[in-house]
Amino acid sequence: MPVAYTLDGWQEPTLAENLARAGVSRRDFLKFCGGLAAAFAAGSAVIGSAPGASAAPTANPVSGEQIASALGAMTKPNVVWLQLQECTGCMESALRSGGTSVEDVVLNLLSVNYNELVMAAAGDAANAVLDETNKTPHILVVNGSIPTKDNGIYCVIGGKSAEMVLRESAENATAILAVGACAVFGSVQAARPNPTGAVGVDEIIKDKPVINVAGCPPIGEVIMATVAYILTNGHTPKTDAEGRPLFAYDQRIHDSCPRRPHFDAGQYVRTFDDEGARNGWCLYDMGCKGPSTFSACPIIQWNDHTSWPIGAGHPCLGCTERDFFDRFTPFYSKLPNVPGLGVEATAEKVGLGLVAATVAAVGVHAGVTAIRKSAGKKTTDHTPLEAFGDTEAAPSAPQTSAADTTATPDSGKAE
Amino acid sequence: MTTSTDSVATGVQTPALVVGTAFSLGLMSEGRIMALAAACPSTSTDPVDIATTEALEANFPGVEVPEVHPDDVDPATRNRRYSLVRVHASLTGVDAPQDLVVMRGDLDTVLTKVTIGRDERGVLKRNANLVIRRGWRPLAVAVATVDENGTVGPFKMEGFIPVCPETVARQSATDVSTGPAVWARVRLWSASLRIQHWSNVALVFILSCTGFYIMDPFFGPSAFVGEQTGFLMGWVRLIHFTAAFVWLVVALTRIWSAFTSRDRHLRWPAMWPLKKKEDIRNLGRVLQHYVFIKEEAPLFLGHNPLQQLTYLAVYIVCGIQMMIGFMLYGLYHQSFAFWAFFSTPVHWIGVPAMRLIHTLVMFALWMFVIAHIYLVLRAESLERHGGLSSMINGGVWVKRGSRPVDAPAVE
Repeated sequence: MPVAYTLDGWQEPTLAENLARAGVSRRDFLKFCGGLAAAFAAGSAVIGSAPGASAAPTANPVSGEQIASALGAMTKPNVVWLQLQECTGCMESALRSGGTSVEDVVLNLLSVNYNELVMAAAGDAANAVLDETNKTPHILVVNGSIPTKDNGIYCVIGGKSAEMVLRESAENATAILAVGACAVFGSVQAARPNPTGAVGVDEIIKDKPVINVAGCPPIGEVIMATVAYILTNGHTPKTDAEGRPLFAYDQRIHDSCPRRPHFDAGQYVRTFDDEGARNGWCLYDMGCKGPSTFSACPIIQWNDHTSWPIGAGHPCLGCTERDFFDRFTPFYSKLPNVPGLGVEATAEKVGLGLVAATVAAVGVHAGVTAIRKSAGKKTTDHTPLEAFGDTEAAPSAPQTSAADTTATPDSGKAE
Repeated sequence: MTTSTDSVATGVQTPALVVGTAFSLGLMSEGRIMALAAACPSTSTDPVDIATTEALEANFPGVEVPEVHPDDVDPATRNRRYSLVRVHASLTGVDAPQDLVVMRGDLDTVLTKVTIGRDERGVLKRNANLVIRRGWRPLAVAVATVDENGTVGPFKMEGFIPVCPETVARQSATDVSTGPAVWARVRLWSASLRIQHWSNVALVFILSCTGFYIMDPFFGPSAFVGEQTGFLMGWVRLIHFTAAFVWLVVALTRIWSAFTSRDRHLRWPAMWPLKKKEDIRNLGRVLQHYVFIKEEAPLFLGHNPLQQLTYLAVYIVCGIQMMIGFMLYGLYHQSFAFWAFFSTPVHWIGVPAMRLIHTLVMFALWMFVIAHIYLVLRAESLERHGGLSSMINGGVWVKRGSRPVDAPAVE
């Protein structure tokens, strides 16, 4: 399957001609565009109706041919691809090591202007390219977070702090993509207590929309599809409440997970070495965050559809969700712990403990009630009443003859 | 019998008494026993005489109190713990009036002076113990006939009348069965409120059971058995979601009725008790009653202020629970603007935190249910007013003449 392509930069006017020069056949290019169309339509018909390559936005799904004609006619776009406080995993994911594909060729053709990892230039030459591109309209792709504490000294490139680098590149950017969990919200370095004050791109750049391609790392195809969407449509895709493109992040992993039937059947992996794990049962009971995580992972998967975390038998960590290091931990529990109550305070323990405490309190209250009630009874037993002979009738009461003749009980009994 | 001046002179202040339903050994009707026990001179100020006369008038309006001349009364003493009264009255209520002597007093003493069979004695003692256990005292009633020669015949045990100080009776051991005519039936809860209550019970139960399983699928098929498993979680979730939407409908009808219902207890002001200063004082009194500082709480026909506040809180908490459930359910349909809009708050704190709150609210509701059931049973056993059954039949019993804070006096 791997085909050797010749990569020698952007030589021809349009992308289609450059691809042909690199050895990509028209057929392969159409297949690639068809794949993008499928990615855009991965969600429901409502989302798949993103405005197509045609001039007038329509409600119809975009076809592969439309993308091919728009993308193919595209002249060289300027792309600045910054790598700030990050691990380069996103770039690895975007480039992939599985073999050269059409995506690689497109990506390589696009990203020539400035990228620390893949560009040939270094030092002052690289900085000069960056300054030059920053002056012209360009697409800005950012990997990595921006440390804000201590004037941002925790990430300095060419003598400029990450924040300065970002602000300069963002000034003339036509579209800004924050790729990867670091660029979206700061990822692991932004987890409590966030020692470097790391934040995501959209907390620095407030005057322009930022598209968050979330994930740690995001799927290469999703990064590519987002770039291609902007190139072909001329505007940014629809996003959800967290700024993620809806075409890739409108469904939870859980909702299209190949192990979902096991979830519905109540078949769960209970330990990583049990029979259920060998059978490929649902990882929900192992703390899988698929039900809480929006991503196209189960459909697109990784490394040319080879595998993905749940496919490899590990629960999802929820890496496409904001603050997942803080919000989704412990990774192997179904629910987060109750905050403020120590390390082992699971919701179930706390909840059942409170219920038990309520039962105990009710028992105590009932006991006191019973004691008070029986005490109340005793007082009634001692209420003296004359009719019962508890108190003597006043001696002055007349003992008349009539009463005497009423007879004494003895005489009554004697009769 | 003492006169009022005597009782002041001796300094004995006997509290007002309540008389319960007479127990009859079977020969006389309850009304007859009550009438003979109430036989006293019209000038008598003895609390037992007053209470029995009043009870007779209230419970048996048709039965006449026999006329008694003050001279025909031989009061009880410490050595002879019963009184003797000569009356001219009908023995059964149907036959002609005749001369009778009524022996009335301490049950054990009277038992030694009467002819009574073993079985009857057992029945009498058992029933007397029952009322004693409730804090009442049995006032024995025995009757002898007087023949034309003036000879008094043997005394026959007829039964007893339970007597109790009014304060004690109200606070604890009275119930409807000890004096039906003293109690008035008040229709309190409308059918719609009761239906909503029991729908809530059923739905919270179903939602808790299914929700707990969704939180922690602690049982289920094992890989080692290898048998058909069906769709356990699928069904659990279907039931959970279906019940949740039914609950939502119940909530909407509850909100609707809070503004449109004619039933005072359904309208929204019934959920907010603190409208004036006196309300806050009453809330304090109720609280003091619940923590055993005060014996008596103010009488409320409907919910007391503490209940109203609690139920308001429960309504709010349940509302939050429904909203969170609705948001989490909406995550399935993010493609639809309606659901995407409703689920927006989930993105603020993340799905796991929302699920955590959803779980903790469930446990909070369990705590409420436990306390709620306990306090219902406690009120039922202390007040004996039919509060428990009113949740089904809608009516409570209220003592005639009582003046609830939240309703006109009960006639």
